[in-house]
Amino acid sequence: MSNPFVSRQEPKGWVVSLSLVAMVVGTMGSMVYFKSLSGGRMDRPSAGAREGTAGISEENVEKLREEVSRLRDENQKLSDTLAEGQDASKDINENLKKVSIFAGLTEIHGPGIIITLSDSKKSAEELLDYSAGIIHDLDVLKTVNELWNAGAEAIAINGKRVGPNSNYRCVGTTIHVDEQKIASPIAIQAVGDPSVLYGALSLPGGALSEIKDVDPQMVKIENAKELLLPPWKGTTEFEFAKQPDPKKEEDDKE
Amino acid sequence: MILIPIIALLLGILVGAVVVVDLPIAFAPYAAIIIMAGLDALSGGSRSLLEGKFLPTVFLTGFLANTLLGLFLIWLGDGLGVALLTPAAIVFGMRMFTNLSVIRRVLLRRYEDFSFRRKRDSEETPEAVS
Repeated sequence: MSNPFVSRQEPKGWVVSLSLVAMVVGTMGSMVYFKSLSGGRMDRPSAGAREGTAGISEENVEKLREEVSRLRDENQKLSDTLAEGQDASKDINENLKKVSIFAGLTEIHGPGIIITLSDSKKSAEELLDYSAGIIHDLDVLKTVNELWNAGAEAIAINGKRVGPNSNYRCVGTTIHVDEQKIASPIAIQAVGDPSVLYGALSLPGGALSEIKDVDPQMVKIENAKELLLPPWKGTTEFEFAKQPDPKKEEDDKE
Repeated sequence: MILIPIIALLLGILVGAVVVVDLPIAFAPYAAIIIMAGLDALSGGSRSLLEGKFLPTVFLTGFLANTLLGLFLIWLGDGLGVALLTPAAIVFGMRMFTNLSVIRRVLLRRYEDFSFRRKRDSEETPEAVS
């Protein structure tokens, strides 16, 4: 009777059965525990199903894009030849040039900054939320918005010019800008006053501070003395929007 | 003897940590209910062991039946879109607490008996000597 916890009548067979169940519990428990720590990625609902928007294949888009830029060049040539002869149409042509520069339909060069956003190289354990270490479509959108806000005059993302109706979407594991896939590292070139743009983007609590809090390595901002941005290749065709009174509009211009 | 189930538990944890199985995330509630049923069975087993009425057949069939019912409930809940893991987990949890209280009482009673007897023995021995 030295040990108070020993039962007087010892039932038989308890060691084996208790051990069996204990082992099951231990195995299941540790399996689930270690699984949830290492590989248990809960992806946000994949938008992969939306990838083939309206059944337009990517090759098709690429072809159409080429055709658009070809036609645009021809158009430019035609207006150039027109302008050569007549004085009156010279004014119109200049006006047209201004408008197309504003709309991003021409090449543009000038000083500015280059912002490079890249996915964090930290491991998922370090980040706690692995999704925080990834550049999302919203980050690109916020950056571009902040750049416009800071007075950027032209912006290109990974060498693709951003136009008046550029859009940013998350499609599965990539980001689409104007239906073009981009992935980390994402280089955003902006033409404008470099110091103003730089200041706007390094603002504490600004558009990029959230990412910088996760991992400062994800954001890199450099000044650029000379940037050359390609023209925007999106469509300029309007189906529904129409000018109220074209004649009056032209009168206003002159 | 009491060490063997504990060693088995540690062995199980080791096996689970070493063996890499690709568990789908949908499996998580099923694993949870197996663990809950196992913990319930362990607490119930210890209780009946201390009460001196442990029967291996009752213990093992109880564990199996509870696990199967729990798995069935979750499967049903998946189909119905209702989280039926919760009621099963609540019942297992309640049973664990009940078992723990019984285990506590039994152990306390035994300890009190033991200390009482030791006191009585120590009071008796000096008389025997003198």
